[in-house]
Amino acid sequence: MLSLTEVRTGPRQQALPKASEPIAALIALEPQAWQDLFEGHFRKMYNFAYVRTGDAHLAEEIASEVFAAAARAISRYRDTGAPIGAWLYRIARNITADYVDRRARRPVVSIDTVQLETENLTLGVENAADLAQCVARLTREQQEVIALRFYNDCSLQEAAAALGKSVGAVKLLQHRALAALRRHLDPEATR
Amino acid sequence: MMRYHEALSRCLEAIAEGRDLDTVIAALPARHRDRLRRDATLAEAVRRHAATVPAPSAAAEANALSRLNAELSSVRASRETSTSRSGFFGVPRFALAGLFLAALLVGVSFLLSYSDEGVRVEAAEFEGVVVANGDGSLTVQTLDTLEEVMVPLEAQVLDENGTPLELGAIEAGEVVVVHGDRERGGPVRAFDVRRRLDGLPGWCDENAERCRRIAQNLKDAQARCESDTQVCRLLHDRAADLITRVTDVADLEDLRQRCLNAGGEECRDITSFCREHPDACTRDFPPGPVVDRLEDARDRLQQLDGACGERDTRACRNIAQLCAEHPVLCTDAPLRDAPAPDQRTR
Repeated sequence: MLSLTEVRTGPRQQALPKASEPIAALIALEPQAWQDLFEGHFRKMYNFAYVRTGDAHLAEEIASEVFAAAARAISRYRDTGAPIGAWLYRIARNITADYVDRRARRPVVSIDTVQLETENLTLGVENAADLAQCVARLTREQQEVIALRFYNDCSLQEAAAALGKSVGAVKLLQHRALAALRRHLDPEATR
Repeated sequence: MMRYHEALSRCLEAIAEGRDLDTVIAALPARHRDRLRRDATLAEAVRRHAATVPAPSAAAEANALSRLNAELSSVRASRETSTSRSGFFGVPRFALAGLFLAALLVGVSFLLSYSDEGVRVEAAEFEGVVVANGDGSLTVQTLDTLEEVMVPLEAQVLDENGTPLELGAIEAGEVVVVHGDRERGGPVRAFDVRRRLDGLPGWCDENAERCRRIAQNLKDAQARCESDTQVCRLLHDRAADLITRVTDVADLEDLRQRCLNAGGEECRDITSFCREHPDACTRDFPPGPVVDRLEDARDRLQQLDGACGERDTRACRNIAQLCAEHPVLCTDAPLRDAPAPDQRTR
């Protein structure tokens, strides 16, 4: 039986910084505050964009655009108590959606070297390409919740803030995303 | 009674905290355990896949940081400038600059919007629901109007994922995004037509308000049509079914949102709605919170189907009853994968 304690290598990623403390410094355009924001979130924005686009170069471009857009928009930021990361994710959602619309790309993840442990997976996950292709077939919101929860290890609360939804709605969306993924991976098993 | 999505969330959270899968699942309702194990394992596979995502290159990260710093410098400079601006006859300089810029833009766009022949040509970009497809053109209901879109042979016609399509493959009721241009008062000439992969239900799911508006626009256009023009004949002949489909999908999305927000009675309305409008409920993604109840029912249906196959007449009767309660499970759509009722009532 698969023991998931063995495969999780560490504690959940550090929670996103709370809005109240760094926001004043960000609004004041203090270099160190922006450096910290960048270091803390660049990879997350990249991962998010990567899941949606399946293109590493495009994901780099989008992550870069997210921070440039954030710098332009910070004076209009309204502190709602949500983590600043949620605001960045919202920018990333919009920018990524624009890119996806413009370029009409879906995730085509290059995963030649990936080895998934499949002995306990009875879901048709024979290789990572299957998984990537199935993620590509999810709806935008389903991809987003998968990116936030499983690629970026966001908590339910963080994902809810990023998606502008209630925690309950995120639980449901997460369930629907996994159910859809399972159906795509192995249509026969769900019959 | 704990709903499945709640149990799944608890399971995933506990696992994320490093607890053992078996222990976690054992503490959750027995009826969910098999599915929890499957979904938790799938979630873990996704997490493992996440670990294989290539890191952004150091060069890209450095460039992004450099771009951010440049942007910050620009914003700082802009702030400093704005604080030192003085007025001109009481009008702030930035306002004068804005007026100048606006005048310049109007002039440039005027020049750009005229082709060599002096005919006004405008860029056109919109999304909408296809009402008809024929003779190399699409009729598309957008948020604002019914557009006639000429699709020349050199235009790209693609699925959303970039797969080339024959124009004829696009059907009424599908959602397309069109890029092209238009001469003043004339039809749009498309450069590029992209068909949404998840169709009308998927689009309405993401754009509930726009879906609702398009349904209303179609109704309005049909109501206004009294003449014998081609557009009116088209609306008369082909739009009725489409209006019903768009309206049903929009209604379902409204119900789903109300169910998400209020739960309880609002969620029960979805089941009733799906009973009355099974076509609107035949998509991959079951409508919101009823998914648990439906999936529970599907599990039960599969069990009964096995028993019915072994000549258990009570099981066969129960299948008929379950299908009556959840007709959405007994159609041909993906959620309704169990055999149709006439096959079951053996």
